Parts: sequence; C-alpha cells; structure tokens
Amino acid sequence: MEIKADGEQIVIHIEPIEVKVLGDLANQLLDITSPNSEVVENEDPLAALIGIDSQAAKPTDPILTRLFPDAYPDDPDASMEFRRFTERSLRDTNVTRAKRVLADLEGRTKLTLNSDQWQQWVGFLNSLRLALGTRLEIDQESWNEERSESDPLYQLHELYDWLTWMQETLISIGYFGGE
Amino acid sequence: MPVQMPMSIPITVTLTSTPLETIPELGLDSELDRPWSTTVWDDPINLMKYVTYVFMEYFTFSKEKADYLMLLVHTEGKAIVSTGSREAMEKDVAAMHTYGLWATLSKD
Repeated sequence: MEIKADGEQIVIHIEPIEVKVLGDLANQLLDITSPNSEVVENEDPLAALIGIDSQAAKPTDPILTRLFPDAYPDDPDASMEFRRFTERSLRDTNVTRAKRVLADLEGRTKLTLNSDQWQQWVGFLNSLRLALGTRLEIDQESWNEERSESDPLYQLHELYDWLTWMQETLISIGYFGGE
Repeated sequence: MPVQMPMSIPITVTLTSTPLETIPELGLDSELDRPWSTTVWDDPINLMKYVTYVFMEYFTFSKEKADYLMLLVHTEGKAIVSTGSREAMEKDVAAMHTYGLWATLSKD
C-alpha cells in the first residue's frame, strides 16, 4: 500500500490482498456495530424515528463497551439514559463509515479520497483499531513490545500495526501536511 | 376565547426559601457556580496525532492547545477539555464517542 497527497485529495494504491483484508474487517465491524436486528423489530417506531433506542442496554462485550462507553463514570442510571439517546446514532455512524469503505474498495487498486471520504476512513480505522486493540488487550506496556512469530496472536498484532500505520499516515498527510 | 392553562401545570407553585439551584427540574444549577465538565481519558490505542486532530477539528482549538491537552491526557491519564452546562457537555461527550475517544462528563 502507498498513500500520498494529490492536491486536495488522498490517493491510495492498494494491493488486491489488502482490499480483501480491509473488506473482511469492514464487514466484521459492520456486524458488531449494526443495531441488533431482533431488537429493531420490537422497538417503538416513533422512538426509532427520532433516534431514541427504547431498548438500549449496556453491552457486555469489551469491544462494544469500548466503542460505546458509559458517559457518567459513577452514575449507571444517567449513563443508561444517555445511551438511550445516543447509542443508536453512534452505531449508525459506524455502519455508515464501514459501508463507505466497502464501497470505496469495490474492485479497485487505486482509491482517490476527497475530504469527506478521508474523514470516514480515518474514523473507520479508529473504530477498527479500538476493536482489534481491545481484543488483543493492548495496554500501555504491551503496545510496542517485540513478539515472536510463534506467538498465536502474532499475525493479529501485525495486522493491528499495519492499521496503525495506515491511520497515522492518513492523518499526517490529510491533516498535518505530511508532518 | 381565552386560552386555558393546561391542567398538568400545578396550580400551587410555591416559591419557598428553597434555593433555585437545588430544584433539579429547573436545571439551573448547571449554569451557575458549578459547571459540568467533559473529561477525556488516556487509552493505549488512540494515536496521539489522532487525539490532537480531534481536539482541533471538533473544539476548533489551535494546534498548540490541542497538543497541550493531548499530552496532558497522555501523561496525566486524563484532561478536562470543556466545561459548561450539562446539556452542552452531553453533546461534547457524544461527539468524542463518535470520534472513538473515551470521554465522560461530571460535575466537579
């Protein structure tokens, strides 16, 4: 993969295998962030229309807890109320970004991103890194340590590092003028 | 024809000696002496450059201020990035969550 600026746009040259990996990851992120389909069928249609999640519940999966965190550290009731009013739209944003990335990747080896696409890609990569990093239990000590190839998580760590490089490069080139 | 007052409004509004800021329904306390604040917490996944970008983009902070707050988050574990009414802080926290930053609001 090669990322460079071309005027106001960002051009990404991408290998077919990278298209496949990013596409798979986008589909997985889509799966875990989409509103639960069972819940959607039973929800209050008026509430859904104005973005209120009538059946919001605090997630138990650590990835979802990280993507959709509590807003009030010491007040579960206020956090739940906040969740009812915001989690749906937060999920929708993640779904929109993943779909944008999937559409941009479709059968291409060269992507040209305008500023809106760039923003969605950076947000998508951030959610993806939060999900993968949480699964890998990345912490302040482990994020940069050397790993042996016999480590069963070696490849996932390599993938995480690649996503980190990609996000960092997109931000540097797209926002900080290459700094 | 005169418009009748809706019956749901209590007729007996007692303006007792209870200070206004202790009546939560009025939501006045958030505007008075103890504003709410939005705290962004450190996490090992979000990139430093990304956090600076979010602070510049959403709060329209200068690069210097955004960098300073980002480093504060990184070294102190957290930083207060905005203060104001509860409603305004809920908006800021929701925005930070959209960017994937770990943010909470509280009344300090």
